[in-house]
Amino acid sequence: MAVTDVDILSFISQFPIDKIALVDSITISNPGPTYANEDLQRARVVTATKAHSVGRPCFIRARFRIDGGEWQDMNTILFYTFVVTSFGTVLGNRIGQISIGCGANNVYFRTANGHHSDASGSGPFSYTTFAHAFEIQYVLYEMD
Amino acid sequence: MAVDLTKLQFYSGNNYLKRSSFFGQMNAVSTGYDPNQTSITHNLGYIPQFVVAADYQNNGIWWANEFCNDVRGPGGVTNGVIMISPSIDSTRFFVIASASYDGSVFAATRPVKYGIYLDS
Repeated sequence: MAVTDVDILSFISQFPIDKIALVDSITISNPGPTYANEDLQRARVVTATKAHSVGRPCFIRARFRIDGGEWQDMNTILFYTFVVTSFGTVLGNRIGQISIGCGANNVYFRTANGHHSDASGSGPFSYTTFAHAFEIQYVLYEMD
Repeated sequence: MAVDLTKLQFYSGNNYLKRSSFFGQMNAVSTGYDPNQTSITHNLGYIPQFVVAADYQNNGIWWANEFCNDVRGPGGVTNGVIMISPSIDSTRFFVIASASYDGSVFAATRPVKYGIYLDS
């Protein structure tokens, strides 16, 4: 017998699976590091908070991209190298990294941007900072 | 004729992650400079997929990934954060807690939400 009213159908699973509670996104501008006198490998951290309506903490899956570039896994850390020109030394720093957390009523974000040009001088150093826009797409799904 | 919904089975051409009974909360315990490991036993007999969220600051915010700071690693971690690294094998799920060098949180316990799937 054919089921004529599909609205009465519900999903029955022998095993529970992930239930998505919310899908959302945010864009965070991070102006980049300004620590030229020291800490050439230090990043600026910019935080943000966005309310959600679930009413309880959730697990999160997320991806992010910088300045409209390729999408990255939420665990990806983008690195680059720069030169301390006075010494010819090559060092590394982060172009971008994100953290994402969830409370009962808000989603919390952290972005790290350590991107700058080669450093000149012999201390204090100087460099040009590169600002970046972090676009984060995320899914909240039930913990229990 | 009424449809007995309990007789319905979900069929998908694509597989989907199925949750095991091992969804819960455990504590990651940092005891000092050396990373400290705690675990739970799942005994599934294979290496399953898992999900984790850690309350790094014990304030009700569950972080899904590394808590990024201005300087990476325990030495640069501020705000009283305990770093937590999850891992799994065929019998147990582990969390390794690394202390901040901030003496105030040198030894601390942080709650971790975990979920172990039936799929490998």
